[in-house]
Amino acid sequence: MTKLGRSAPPSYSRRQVLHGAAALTAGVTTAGVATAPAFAQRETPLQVLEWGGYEGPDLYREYLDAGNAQPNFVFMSSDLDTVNKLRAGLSADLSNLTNNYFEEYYKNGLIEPWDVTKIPRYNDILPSLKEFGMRDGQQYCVPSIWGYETVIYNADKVDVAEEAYALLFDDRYAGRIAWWDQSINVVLAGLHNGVDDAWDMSEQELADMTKFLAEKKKNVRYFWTYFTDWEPDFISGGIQIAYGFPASWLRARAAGVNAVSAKPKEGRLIWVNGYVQLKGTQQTEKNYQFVNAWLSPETAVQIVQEHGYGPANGNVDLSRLDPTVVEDLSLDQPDSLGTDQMIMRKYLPNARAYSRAWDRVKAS
Amino acid sequence: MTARISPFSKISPAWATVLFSCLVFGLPLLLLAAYSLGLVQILNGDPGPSLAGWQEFFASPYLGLYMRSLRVALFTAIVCTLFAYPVAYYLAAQPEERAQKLLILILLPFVTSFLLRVLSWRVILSDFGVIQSFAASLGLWPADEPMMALLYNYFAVTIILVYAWLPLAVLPIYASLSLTDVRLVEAAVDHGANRWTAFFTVTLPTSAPGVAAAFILVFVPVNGEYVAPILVGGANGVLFGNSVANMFGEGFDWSFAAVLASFLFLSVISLLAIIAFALWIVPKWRQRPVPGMVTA
Repeated sequence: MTKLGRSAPPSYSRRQVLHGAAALTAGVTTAGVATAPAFAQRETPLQVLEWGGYEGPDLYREYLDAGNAQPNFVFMSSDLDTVNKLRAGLSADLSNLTNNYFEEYYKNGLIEPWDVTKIPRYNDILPSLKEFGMRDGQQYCVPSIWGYETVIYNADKVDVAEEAYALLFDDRYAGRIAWWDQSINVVLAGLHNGVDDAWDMSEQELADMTKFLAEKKKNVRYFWTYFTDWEPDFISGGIQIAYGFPASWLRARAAGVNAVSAKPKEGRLIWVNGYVQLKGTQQTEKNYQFVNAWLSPETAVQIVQEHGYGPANGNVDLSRLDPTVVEDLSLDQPDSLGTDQMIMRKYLPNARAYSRAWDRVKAS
Repeated sequence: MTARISPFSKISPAWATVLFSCLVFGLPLLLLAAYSLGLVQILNGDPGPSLAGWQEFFASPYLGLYMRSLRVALFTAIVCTLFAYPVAYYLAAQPEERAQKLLILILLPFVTSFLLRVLSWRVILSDFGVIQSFAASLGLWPADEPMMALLYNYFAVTIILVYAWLPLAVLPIYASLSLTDVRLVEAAVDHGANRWTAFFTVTLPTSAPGVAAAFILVFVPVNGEYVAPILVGGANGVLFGNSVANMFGEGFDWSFAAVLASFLFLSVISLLAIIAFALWIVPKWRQRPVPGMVTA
C-alpha cells in the first residue's frame, strides 16, 4: 500500500490545465447569464450606513408602508471609521452621521445635497438643528434625531458633591467605572482639565491629556462599545459610573436602579444625527421617502419612548411623549437645545490626532 | 512523430502551491513592509520614503504593549503545549478507533463559534457569574459582593486563549507521537533505562517536531489576537493586535498601522527561525562524537 504522503505528485499538462480553466470560466459565465433576469426583476434595497439599534422597522414604518423593501443596513462602529471606509471605496445610498463629523464627509466630497422641496416634513425640523448640515445655502444633512451623552451614575452608591466629568476619573470608584471606547474621552479630559478649546487642542495639550487618561485608566473596568456591554453590570452593581446615553439611564431606572443622568458643570454634550446622501447614489426617490419617514410623528414617539432622544421634528404633540424624557430634554422649551448645561459637539479639525491619542491611552 | 516539449508542459502542484503562497501571502506582506517605509503610497497624504514611522514606534507605548502581548502569547503557547502533551500521549497509546473517538470529543468545542465560546466564559467569570455564585453558596464569598478580579484583565484573556487553543495543540503532538517507533522505547528499556529516562531520551526527542508545531500553532495567532481582549480584556487587558486593528480602522493611520503589522510579522518570523534552528541543531548536537566513543 502506498502512503498518501509518499505517492508521486500528480502532474498536469498545459492542455489539461487550460481545458480546466476554460470549463470553469464557461461555467461561471453561464451561471451569471442564467440568473441575471431573476436579479433584474428584484428590487434593489436601499443601502444605509446605520447605527446599531436604529434598524427597527417602526422607526421608518412609513417608508415600508409605501411599498419599499426593507433597507440593507451596514452598521457603523464610529463616524470616523465610516468616513475612512467611504474614502477607501465603500458605497451606499445613505449614511446616518453625527453632526461634528459632517465636515469630514463634506470636505472629502462624499455627499450630495438634498432637494428639500422633496421632503414634505422639512419645515417641521427644529431650525437650530439644520445649520450644521448646510453649505452654500444647500442642505447636505437632514437631521433626524438629537440627544446627549453624559455621566450616568448610581446615586445609591456614588457620593456626588457636584456633577462633573471628574466622576469618570474619580479614584474612589476604581474598578467601578466604564468609559466609552471612543476618542471623545480625550475631549472629556480636556473639558475636565479646563483646556482652552477641548475640541481643538494643541499638540502639547493632547500629549498632556493622553498622559492624564493613561494614568486614570487604572480606575476603569472596561471600555464599552455597545450599550449592552455595560448596562447589565450597571444594573447588577459592578459598574457604578459610566459615560453613556439617556437610553441606558431609562433602562436602568426601569430595572429599579437609582440611576442619575448627570448634568455636568462642564455641560452635557449634545449630538445631532442626520442623513446624508452619498455620492453616486442611484436611489434618490427612496432616499427622500426614507428620510421623510424618519421625520414622522410616529417615529418621534418611538425615539422618545425607546431611546430617550429628542426628535428633529419640532411639531410633535408632546402629550404623546414620555413626560420624564420631555422634562429631561426640555422639549417643552421653545429652544430645548439652547438650555443651560448643554454644549453642542463640535467639529474636530484634527480628529485623527485625537483618535491616535486615544489609542495610545489604550496601549499604555 | 516527436512530441514538442514545452518548458511549461508539466506543472507540478507543489510548485503551483509555492507560487500561490508567494502571490497571496508573500507579496502583500512585502507591500506592507514597503508601505511602512514609505516606499509605496496608497492614500493621498501618505508620507514618502522615511524611517519616521519606525522611529516613532520604538519611542511609543506600542513597544511596551507588544512586550505584554508577547508574554501572553508565550505563556499561552507554553501552557497549551504542556497541557496538550499528556493528552496527546494518552491518545497515542490508545487503539486507533478509540483514539479517533476521543479526538472528536477534544475537537467538539470547535462546532461552535469562537465568539460564543468566549462569551460563555464571561458567564463563568463575570462579577456575579458561576464562580462567584459557587463560592457564595459555599459561604466563601459574600452573595451580594461582585467577584471582580476574574474578568477584564490579562488573567481572563490568558484563560480564554488557553481554553480556545488547547484542543488544536493536541493534534500535531498526537500526530508526532503516533509515528514514534515503539521499538526504540523498548530497546531503551531493554538496555536498562527506566520509564522516565526512556521518555526523555527517546519519546520526547522523536516527538519534538510535533511539540514545536503545537507551540507555533498557538503562539502565532495568539501573538496577534484581537477578539478575546475586546470581550474579556477590559481597560487593562488590551493586546497588540487591537492597536493594529484600530490604526487600520478608526485611527486611519495606515502607514503607522503598517509599521505595527510589519513589526508583528517580523517578530513572529524571527521566533519561527529560532525554533527551526533549534530543531536543526539539537539533533546534530546530540549525535556529536563523544570522546572515547568507538565509531564504526
